[in-house]
Amino acid sequence: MLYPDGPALRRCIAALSILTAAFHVAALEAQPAPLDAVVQMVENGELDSAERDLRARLAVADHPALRDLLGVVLSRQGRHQAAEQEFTRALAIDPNQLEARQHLARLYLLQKRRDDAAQQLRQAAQRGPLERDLAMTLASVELAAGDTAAAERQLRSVAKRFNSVQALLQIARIAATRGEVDRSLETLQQALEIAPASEDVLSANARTALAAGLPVPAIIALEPLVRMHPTVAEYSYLIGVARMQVGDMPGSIEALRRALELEPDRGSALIGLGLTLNHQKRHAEAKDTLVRGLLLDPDNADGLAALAEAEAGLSELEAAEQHALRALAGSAPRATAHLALGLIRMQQGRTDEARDALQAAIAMDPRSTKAHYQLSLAYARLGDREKSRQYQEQYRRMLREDEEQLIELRKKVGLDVALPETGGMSP
Amino acid sequence: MRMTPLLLLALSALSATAETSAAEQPSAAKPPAAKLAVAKPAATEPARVLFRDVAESAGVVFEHHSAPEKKYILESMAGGVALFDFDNDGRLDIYLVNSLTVDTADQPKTAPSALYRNLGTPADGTLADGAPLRFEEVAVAAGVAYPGWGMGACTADLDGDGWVDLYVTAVGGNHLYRNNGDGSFTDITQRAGVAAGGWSAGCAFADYDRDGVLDLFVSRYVEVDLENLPVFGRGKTCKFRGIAVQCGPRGLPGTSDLLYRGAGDGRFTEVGAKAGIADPDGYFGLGVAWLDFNDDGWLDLFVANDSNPNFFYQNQGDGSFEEAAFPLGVAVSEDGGEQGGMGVAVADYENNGRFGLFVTNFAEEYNSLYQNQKDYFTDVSFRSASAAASLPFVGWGTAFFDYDHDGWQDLMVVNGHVYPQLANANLGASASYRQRKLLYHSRGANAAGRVTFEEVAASFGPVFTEERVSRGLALGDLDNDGRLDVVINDLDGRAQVLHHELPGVGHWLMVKLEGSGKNTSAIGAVVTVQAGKLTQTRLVRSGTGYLSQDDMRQHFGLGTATKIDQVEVRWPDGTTSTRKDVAADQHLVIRQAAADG
Repeated sequence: MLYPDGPALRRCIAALSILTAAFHVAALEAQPAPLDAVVQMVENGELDSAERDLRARLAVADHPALRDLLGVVLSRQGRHQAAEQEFTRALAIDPNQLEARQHLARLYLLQKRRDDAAQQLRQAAQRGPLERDLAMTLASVELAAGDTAAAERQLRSVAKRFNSVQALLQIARIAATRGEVDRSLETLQQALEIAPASEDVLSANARTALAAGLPVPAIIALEPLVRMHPTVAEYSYLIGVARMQVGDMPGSIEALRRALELEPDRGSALIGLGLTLNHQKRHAEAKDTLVRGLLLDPDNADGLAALAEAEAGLSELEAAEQHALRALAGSAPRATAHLALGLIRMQQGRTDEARDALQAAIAMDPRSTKAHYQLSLAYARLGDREKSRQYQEQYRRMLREDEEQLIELRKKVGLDVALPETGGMSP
Repeated sequence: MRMTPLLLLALSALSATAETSAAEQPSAAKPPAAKLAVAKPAATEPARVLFRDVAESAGVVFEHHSAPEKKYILESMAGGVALFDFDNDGRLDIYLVNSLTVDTADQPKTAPSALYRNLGTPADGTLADGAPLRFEEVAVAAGVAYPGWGMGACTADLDGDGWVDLYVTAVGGNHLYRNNGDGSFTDITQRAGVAAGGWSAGCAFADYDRDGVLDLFVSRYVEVDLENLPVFGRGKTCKFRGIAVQCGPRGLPGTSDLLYRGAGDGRFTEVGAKAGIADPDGYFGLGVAWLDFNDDGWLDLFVANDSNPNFFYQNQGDGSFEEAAFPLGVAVSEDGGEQGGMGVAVADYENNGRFGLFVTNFAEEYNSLYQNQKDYFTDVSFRSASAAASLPFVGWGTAFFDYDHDGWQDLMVVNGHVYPQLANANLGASASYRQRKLLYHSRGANAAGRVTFEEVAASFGPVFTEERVSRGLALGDLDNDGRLDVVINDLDGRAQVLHHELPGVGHWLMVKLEGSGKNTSAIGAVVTVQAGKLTQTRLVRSGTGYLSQDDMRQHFGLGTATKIDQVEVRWPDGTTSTRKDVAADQHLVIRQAAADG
C-alpha cells in the first residue's frame, strides 16, 4: 500500500479534524465547505476538486496537516515531485508530523528510493508507532542492514498492536538465527495460539521452523496440515523433511513417499527420500531414488553428494568418486560431498586424502558427528593416536549434545516424536 | 550344480549312514569311494531343506520360562545354549539355560535349565519315528538344573582332567559346575571364587597370560534391584515409539565387567581393574570373544556392549590390556552411532588367516561385519552385502559356518524383538516382536579379493522364515555326520534342534584338539587347513555367539577336495603340530602331547 487508503485515510481525516478543532477555528469556519467534504472528495477520487479546495484553505492558513493531505492528493494524481514538496513543507512546519513522514516514505517506496524511504521511516519510528505495513517494511530494511534489534522492535510493535502472526513469525526467525531456540519456539507458539487452524499460519509456521532448524514445531504445524489437506504434496514433503531432521527415518520415508505419490516428479522429494534411505543404509534404494531426482535436477549438490554416499555404500567407488567430485565442483559445494569423498578415500585406503576431505567436511559443517568419527579413524590409521583421540572425544561429545538437544525439543513442545535409534533398546 | 533326483537320493543315503568315533585318530567316517561319486563342485543351488527342526522327535522339549509381557528388562535377555560332550561318549550334548521372571524370582525351581544327553543315532541313521537323533534330559541328576536366574553358558576343561566343565552366568550369582566324570557335576563356584554377582551375561575362558591355566572373562549388563525395579512404561527410557515398554538399558546404571585369572589350583582371582578391563563406566556388556586379531600370539578380547560403544581390549603381553575399540574401528557403526551390540561371531571368513568380527545389533541399526586388516578393522557391513537384510531385526545369536562345504564360511543370525508390546504395532522399517532368521551364503572372494554374502534364508523354507523370538544359538555336529547342526534357545517358545539335511554338500573335515597340560580343550589354538587353493583357519573358542557355546571341534568345508594337503595346529603355548596328506570326510583328532608339543 503506497497511498493512504481506507483506514489509513480515515486516520488522516481524524487527525485533520482534531487539528481543525484545536487551531484556526475561525479561519476554517470561513472556508466554503466543511473539511470532511474534502476528505470525501479524495475518497471518491475527485482529486482535482480536492486539490482546489485544499489550496484555497492553505491560502487562508498554512497547516502541516493540510499540506500532508494535499501531498496525498498530488501523489494520487501521479505528481510525485509536487507531492514530495508538500510532505517536505509539512515536515518543515512540524517535524513530528508522523502522518506526513509516513506518506513521504510511501512516496519514496513508490519511486523505489529505498534509502530515502528508510531514512524517513527511521525518523518516523522515533516519533511514534508506524502503520502496520510500514513497520514491517522498516523491519525488513533493518534486517537487510543487519540491525536485528531495530527490526525486532518494529515487529514486536506490530505483533502487539495488530496481533500479527506475520510479525511473530519474523521474530521467531530472527531469534532462531541468533540461536535463541527457546525464544523462537515461544514466539511460534504465540502465533499458533492466534491462528491455530489457518492453513497460511500453519504453513508459514512450519516453513519458518524448518528454515530455522526447528523440526519439532514444524511437525506440530504440519501434522494438521497433512490431515486437512491430504492431497497437497508440499505438506507431505515438508513433514518428511522435518521427520528426517528429528531422526524419525521411517516416518520421513513414509511422508516423502506420499509426497511422491501425489507429485511423482518432485525432485526435492526424491532427493530428500534418497537422503533418508541413505541414513537408513538402504543404499540400493537410495541410489535409484537419487538417480531419478537428479534427472529432474541434475546439478543438485545435495543430491550428487548423497548419490556418492549411496554408491560408496554399494562399493561402486568409481561412480561414487565421480559424483562426489561433481558435487564439489559446483558453485555451492556441500559438506556432505566432502564427507562422501572422505568415505570413498577411506575405502580406497587413501587415508591422507581421506583425512583432508574429512577436515574439509568439518570446516563446512562443524557439527558433523560422522565426519568427526571417520576423521578419528583416519588419524588412527595414520598412526596419530593423539589426534585420533581428540576427534573421537569431540564426536562423542557432539553425539551426546545432539541427543540432549533433541530430547529438550521434545519436552518443550510436548510431542512424542520418535527419536533416532541411538542404540540398543533406547526409545 | 543342479542335482539329479537320483544323485540327491544317493547323497541322502550317504548322509544318513555317516557316523564316526571321535576317539579314533584319525578316523575314517565314510567310505571314500562312495563320496567320490559326489565329489563335484560344492552345491551352489540350495535344495529346499537345509535344516529340519527335529527337537520334538529327538526328545528336546525344553521351553524357556518367560513372562508374557516382559515388563522388566530382566525378562527379555536370556538365554544361551551350550553344546559340549559332558560324558565323553563322543556325542555332543545340549545344555539350555533357563531364567526366572520377576514373579517367580524367589522360586528357582520353576525354571530348570536342561541338560540333554545325546543318545546317539542308530546304525541305520534313523530311529523308528524318523528322528535322526535322540536325547534324554538329565539336568537334575547331573546337578546343573537350577543355576537360578540363568543367562548364558560357556565351557572348558578347567582342571585338565579331560572332562569338560560348565560355567553358567546368571542374575544374582554365576555357577561353575565341575564335571565329575560320572555324569554328574559339582557346583564349585564358591571355592573357585567366580560367583561374580550382579547381572552377568557373557562368559568365555581363555589363557590370556599364557601361563597354561585358563582364565575367565565375564561381561555384565545393568544393575538390578528386584525390590526397586523401574516401573514399566514410566520414564523417558520406558517408551518405544510412544508405546509403553520395559525400561532400559539406557537410563539404568550399568555394571563393571570381570576378569578372573586362574591360579592353577582351581581358584580364580578377579583382576579386571589391574588388567585394565574392568569397565569402570559400566557399559552394558553382552557377547564376548577372545581372539588374537593381529597374530602376535596374545589373545585380545572383544565385548559387544548394548547401547554403548563396544570394547576391544588389546593384550599387551604383560597381563594388561589397552582398550582400543575406537582406533581399531570396532566401537561403533561407520556413522559413529553407538549400537545395541548383542552377539558376536569370529571367523577367518576371507580365508586369509585373519579373524574378522561380526556383531549383531538392534533393529534399524545393522549387524556389523568388521574386516580384519591386521592392524585395524574396517566396517565392511554394507560392502559385503551382509548389512541391509539385517536392518529390520534385533539380532542375537550368530555364527559363521560353512553349510554347503564349499570352503567359504557362511553366516547365520537368529532374531527377535525385546518388546512384546510391539506385536501389533506398525514399526515402519522394523520387524515386529517375532522375527525370522537370517542366513547368509558366502559368495567367496571376488576378482578384487573381496568376500560378499547373499541373504538366502527364504530359499530354505519355514525353518528360517518362521517368526520367533530367539536368543542363543550354538553350532555343533550332533550326529557326527560331518555337517554342522544348530541348536537355538528361544525366549518365548520351545528350543529348536536344527538337523543339517542339505544334500549335495562338498567334502569336509572335523578337527578335535586335545591340548597338553590343563587346557585339554586347546582353547585359543588355531587350526589351519590347506586343501587345494584354499587355506582356512579356525580358532578354538570358549564362549560364542550370544551367551552360548559352540562345539569346540573345528569344522572345515572342502568343496571337491578329497584330500587335505596340510593341517597345522598352533597350540596356545605357541608350539605347532602338522599333519600332511590327510583324507577328507573324517573326524581328525590331534593331540598336542602325542604330536610335536
